[in-house]
Amino acid sequence: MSEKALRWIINIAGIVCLYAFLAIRFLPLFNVILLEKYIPEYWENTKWGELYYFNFIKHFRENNLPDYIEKYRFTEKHPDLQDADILSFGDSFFDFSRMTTFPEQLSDSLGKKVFYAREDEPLTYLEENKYTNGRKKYIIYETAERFLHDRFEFPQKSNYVEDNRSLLKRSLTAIRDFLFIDDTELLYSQLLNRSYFTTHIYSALSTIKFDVFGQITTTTPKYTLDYDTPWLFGGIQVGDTPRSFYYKHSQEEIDNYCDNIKKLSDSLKEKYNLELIFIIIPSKYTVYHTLINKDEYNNFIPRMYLALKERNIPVIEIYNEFIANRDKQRLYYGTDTHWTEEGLHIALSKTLQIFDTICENKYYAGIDTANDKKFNN
Amino acid sequence: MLFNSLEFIIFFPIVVALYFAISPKYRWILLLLASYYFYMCWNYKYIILIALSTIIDYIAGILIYRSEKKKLRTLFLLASLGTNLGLLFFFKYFNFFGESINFVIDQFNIFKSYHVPYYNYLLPVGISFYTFQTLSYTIDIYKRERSPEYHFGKFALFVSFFPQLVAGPIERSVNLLPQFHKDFKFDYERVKSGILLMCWGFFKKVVIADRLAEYVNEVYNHAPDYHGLPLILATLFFAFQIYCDFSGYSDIAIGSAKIMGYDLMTNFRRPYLAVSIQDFWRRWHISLSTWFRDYVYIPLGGNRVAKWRWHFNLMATFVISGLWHGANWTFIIWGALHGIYQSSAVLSKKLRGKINDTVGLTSSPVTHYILQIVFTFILVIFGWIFFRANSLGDAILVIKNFFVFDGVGEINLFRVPADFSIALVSIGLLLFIEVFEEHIQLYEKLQQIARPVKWVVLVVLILCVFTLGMWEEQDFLYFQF
Repeated sequence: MSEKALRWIINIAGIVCLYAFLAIRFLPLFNVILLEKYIPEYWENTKWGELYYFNFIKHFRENNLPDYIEKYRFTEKHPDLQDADILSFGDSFFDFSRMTTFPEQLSDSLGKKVFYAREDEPLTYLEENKYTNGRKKYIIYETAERFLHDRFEFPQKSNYVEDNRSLLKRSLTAIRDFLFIDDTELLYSQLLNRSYFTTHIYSALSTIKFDVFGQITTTTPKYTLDYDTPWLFGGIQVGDTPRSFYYKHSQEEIDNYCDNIKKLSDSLKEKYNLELIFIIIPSKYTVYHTLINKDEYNNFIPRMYLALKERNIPVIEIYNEFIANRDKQRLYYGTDTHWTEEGLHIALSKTLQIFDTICENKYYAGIDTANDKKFNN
Repeated sequence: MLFNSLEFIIFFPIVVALYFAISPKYRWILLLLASYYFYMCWNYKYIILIALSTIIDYIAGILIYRSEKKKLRTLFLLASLGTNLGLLFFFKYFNFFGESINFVIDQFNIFKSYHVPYYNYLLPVGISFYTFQTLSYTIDIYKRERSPEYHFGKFALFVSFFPQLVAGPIERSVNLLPQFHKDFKFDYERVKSGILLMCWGFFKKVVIADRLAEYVNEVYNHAPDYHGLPLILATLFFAFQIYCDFSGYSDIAIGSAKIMGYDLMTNFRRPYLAVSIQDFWRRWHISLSTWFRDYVYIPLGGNRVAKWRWHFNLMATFVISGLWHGANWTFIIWGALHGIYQSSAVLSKKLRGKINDTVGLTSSPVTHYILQIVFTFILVIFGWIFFRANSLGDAILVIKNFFVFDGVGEINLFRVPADFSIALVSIGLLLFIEVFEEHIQLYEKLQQIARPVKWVVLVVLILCVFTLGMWEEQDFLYFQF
C-alpha cells in the first residue's frame, strides 16, 4: 500500500469518526445511519425483544412481538397531575407500550383519572411540578425487583433545587454537557451495533462467537434455546449483587428498605395527603429461572411483603400469582425484560382487588369499586 | 478515556487526521486541546490539578535555572517538589496514613480524643505518572542537566501528552520536550509500525489481560473459598494479566505517539525472560525503574557507599516503589520483598557461583539459563500474590492454601468454558513471540516478508481483537496507581 493510500485511509477514518462524534450529540445525525430508528421515550421501537440488542446473536431473535403503541402519558387521555384521582410512579413496566400500559388499563378499569410519571423519586417530582396538597388520593409506586435496592437503600427525599444560575453559568454547563456527555460508550456502541453498515456484520460475528466458543455478553449471561421461543435473562438479575436472584439479603437489609419505604409513605402523606400503595414486579429470572435450573430463590419478594405489611404499607402482592401461573401462561417475553399482557393482567387484577378492599373498608372515598361493574366482573 | 473504549477508537483517528491536516506550527495546540479533552472525559474537574502542576513547574523551572545562588535554587526546587508531592500525598496517601495512625491510636489507647479525618474523594487518574514526569523536569534543571522550556504551551503538552498521560511511560523531559519542537512529516513506515504496535497492545489488553481478569478476580476476591490448583492458576494468570494489561497499555501509548511522529521510551522488554530479579527490573516498567534509579537510588548513594548502606538504599528504593504503586500494605510488602530479593542476590552471589560449579551448571549454559529464568519467574510470581491480594490477610491465606490439594474441585472458573482454552492459547502465543523476539528482531523480520502476508497478519490481529476481545469496559490496572 502506498503512502498516499494510507493517508487517504487515515483521512476517511477521521471523517467517519468525526461524524460518529457529532452523531451521538445530535439525534438526527444519529438516526440517519441506524437500521432501527431511535425514538426518544420509545425504546420498544425494536423489531425483536430488547435483550437481543445486548448480544445480537441471531438465535435470540424472537418473532412476532407486537409493535409499540403511543404511550399513555403522551395521549390526550392522560390527566394533569393536579386533576388526577390516582397517581402512579414507576419504571419501564408501567411504561411498556407493546400493549396498553398498566396505568391506562387501570384508568379504564376504575373509570378514574390515573396519572403516570416515569419517575422513581415522587417527592422530587411532586415538588418540582408544584403539586398542591389537596384531597386524599392514592399513589401507586411500582419498582422492578432489581431496582428496589437502588431506590430504597437510603431514605428518599426531595432533591429538587430551583435553577437560579446565571445565563453564563448555564451556557458553560451546556457546553460542558455537549462535550462530556454521559453514556458516551453506550451511544457509540449503539451506533456500531445498529447502523446500516455494521449491524449485520456485528450480528454475524456475535453469532459465530456464540456458536463456536459459547461466548455471550455478561449483560445476558443466562439463556435457553430449548423451547419454542428463545429465552434470555438480563445480567443484573442473575449476578450476586443486592439486585439479583442469588444475593442473600440479611433481615437488616430488608428492614432498611422497608423503613425507607415507610419514610417515603409518611412524607407523601404528610406533605401531599397521598396514600402509598407499593408494587414490586418480580424479575423475569425470579419467575422463569426454572426453565434453566432449579436454583433456590433468595425469597426476597415474599420477605419484602411481610416486612411491608408489618409497617402497614398496602402492597400489591403478585409474586405468588406469577409463580402459580408461570407454566400456564407466558408472563414475560422470552427476549425482553418486560411482562406480557398476561403478566400485566395479573398485576392489574391484584391492584383492583386492593382498591376493592380499600373501598369496602371505606378507606378511600375517591373510588367506589363496590358499585363498579368492571370491578366485580 | 480508556484506550480500550469506543470513545478512544473514535477520538484517536479524529486527532490523527487533524494532526496531519494542519500546519506543523499549530500542532501543539491541537495536541494540547486533545490531551486536556482526553483527561477531562474521565473527570473534567480534576484537570485543575494538571493545570496547577503545569503552572508551578513551568515557573519553578525558569526560576531554578536563572538563580545563581544554590540556596535560592533549592528553595524553588522545594516549592515544586512540595506542591507536586503534596498533591500526590493528599490525594493518594492521606487516607491510608490517616487510617494507619487511627489504628495505632485505637490499639494503644493513646490520644483517644484525636482521629485523623477521612476524605472521600476520587483518586485522580494518572497522578503518580504525571507527578513523577514533572518532578524529573525540575530536578534535571536543578542538577543543570537541562535548560527550562520557555514555551508554556509546549511545556503544558509535555505534562499532559495524552498517549502517556494516565499510565506512562513516564517520560523524561530531555527525550520528549525537544520532540514538540520538531515538524514531523507523514511517515509511511512509522505510521504503519505504530498501527501494528497499537493492535498488538489491544490484543494483549482485551484478548489476554481482560480474559484472565475474570478468573483472577473470581479467585482473589473469594480467596478463602479456594485452595490448590485454582489458586496456583489464578496467580499464574495474574502474572500474565498484569503484564499484558500494562505492557498492552504501553504499546498502545507508544504506538499512538509513533503514528504522530513521537518516540516514547520502551517500557517493557520481555520481563518474564529475565534471568535474575535485577534483570527483571531492567525489563519491567523501565520508565519507572530508571526513574527510581536516577532520582532515589543514586541520590541516596547507590552502591558507592558502605555495604550496609547499599542494602539500605536498595530496600528504601523498593519500599518507596511499592508505595508508589498504591496506598496499601500489600504494595509496601511487595516492594520490600523485591528489595530483599535484590539484597539477597548481592549477598549470595559467591555462594550461588559455588553451587553452580558444584552441580555442573557452569558447564551447561543453556540449562543454567533456563533454570535462572524459571527461578526468577517463581520469585516474581510470589511477589505478585501480595500485589494482587485484597489485603495482607488474604495474601497470607493464599500462600497457606497454595499447596493444599485435597479435593481439587472445579478448575475452569470462566463463565464461558471456552475462555480457558483461549486464555491458554493466547498466553502460549505471547510466550512464543516473546522467546522469538528475545533472539531476533521480530519487527525487522516482519518487514522482510511479502506485503500480502504482512497485511494478513495485521487483519488477523484486528479480527482477533474484535472477535476474541473482552470489550465490556475493564479499567487498566495501572490506572489505580
